[in-house]
Amino acid sequence: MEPILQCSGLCKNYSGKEALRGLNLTIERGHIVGLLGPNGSGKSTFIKLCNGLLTPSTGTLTIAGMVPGVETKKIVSYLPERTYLSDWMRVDDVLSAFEDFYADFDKPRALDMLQRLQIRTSDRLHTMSKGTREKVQLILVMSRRAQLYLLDEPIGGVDPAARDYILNTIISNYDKDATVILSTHLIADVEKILDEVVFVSNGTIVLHTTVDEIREQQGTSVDAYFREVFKC
Amino acid sequence: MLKKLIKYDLKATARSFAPIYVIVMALAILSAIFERVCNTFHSSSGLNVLNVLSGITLVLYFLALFVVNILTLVICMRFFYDNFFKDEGYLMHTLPVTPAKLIWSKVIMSALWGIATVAISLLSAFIVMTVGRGQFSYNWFNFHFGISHWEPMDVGVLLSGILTIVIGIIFIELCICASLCVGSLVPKHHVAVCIGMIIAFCIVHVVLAIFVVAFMQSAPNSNWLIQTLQAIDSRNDGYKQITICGLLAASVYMAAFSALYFVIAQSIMKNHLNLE
Repeated sequence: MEPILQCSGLCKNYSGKEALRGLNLTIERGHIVGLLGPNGSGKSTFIKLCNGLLTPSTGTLTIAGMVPGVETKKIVSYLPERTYLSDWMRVDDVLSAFEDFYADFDKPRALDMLQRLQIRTSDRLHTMSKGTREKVQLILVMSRRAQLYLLDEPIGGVDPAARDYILNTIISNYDKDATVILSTHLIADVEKILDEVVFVSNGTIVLHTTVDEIREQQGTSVDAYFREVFKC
Repeated sequence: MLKKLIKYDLKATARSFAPIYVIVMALAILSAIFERVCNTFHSSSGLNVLNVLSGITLVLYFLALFVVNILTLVICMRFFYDNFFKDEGYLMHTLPVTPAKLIWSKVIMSALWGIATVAISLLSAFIVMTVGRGQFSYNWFNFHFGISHWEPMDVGVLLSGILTIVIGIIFIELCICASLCVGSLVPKHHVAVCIGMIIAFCIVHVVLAIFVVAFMQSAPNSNWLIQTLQAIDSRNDGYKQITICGLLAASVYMAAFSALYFVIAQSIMKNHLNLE
């Protein structure tokens, strides 16, 4: 089967600054991959490129063998680092919108998750706390039967209890053939769910390996190894 | 998919338009009521409370009418910008739809609100002019618009006028959309660049209009276009035919530039999207 994500010589320049410098990466299906790196290393830029929100300066990028476009958007479920839902909407409205636009959206699954969190579907988003809105957004994203989930800082702005909920939601809601790529710099929280890690620094990949290999070869946790690699 | 996009865009913008339409209609009705009361009690002359209230509501109505027309453009422009290039853009640009459909949904949505604003303006003006003065009748309408003896050419003028208005609204929306897309290409000051682009596009149209007028004035009588126009003008109802020709020419001109603006916007959103 074709890798879910492949990029070769991927570069992105913003106003004369190189955000990504010739990234070469292949991600196979059925893994949870951590895209790890300090702030400003190019993680969000890479995820935006995968979603077609940015266009590469040079190089190639394919999702399931296709250049980002309408067809890849049907199989990619994206959680941005910011809230993209309009405040005036009710949860009901958002559910209907996702059901209308995404053929793979599983509404009963979303309703079940919302019910467990005691979030009423009649509530408007602007009446919710930031953490609750982020949970609603994650529920929407994880309720799609997508082939690739791209989660940009999914635990960035929430409390530790909410982090556990989010990570549990991720691991219990993706199909075994699907791939999850999540970017974060809060490694200690996510490393228990990761299969692979990609260390990104200054727009380049400095390491791409499995979590088991780090533990076996380095004899340390991913978090400790990350601190060692990116020591200031 | 386009229908779904339009449905959501209309729902999102209805929250902004509904209150201002309600205000315009309420002021029109209030103004008509005061006018009617003034006429009923024969207090149309002299300074009294009813006349003052009638005057105030009429002024407020005209102010609201002006504001609603300006706001239609501002709300649509802001919706374009927020929906495509701010946080909501993260959702819009990750929906499995082509950039062309995204653009058309916004243009059609704006055109519908533009038409609704024209309709609300006409309806409210009709209420103020007729209901308030107790002239709400077929005779009044016939007297002012002569609808009972309309000829096919009059219908032609009306239809070509409506067509020009619709294409004109689409032309303005696409011009704004193209300007916003060009503005999104620069790393900073998007809105300033966008407004600069709108002004630049307007200058292009003014220059072209000056060229057309200069050509019409300086062209020799032997020119085929001048001869054709003179031949049409010499017929019965010639001025109506000239009006239809003028409106259709304006429609074709605006349709051509709308296509150009669409290509610019689509190309930028497809190949140069930069949601930094």
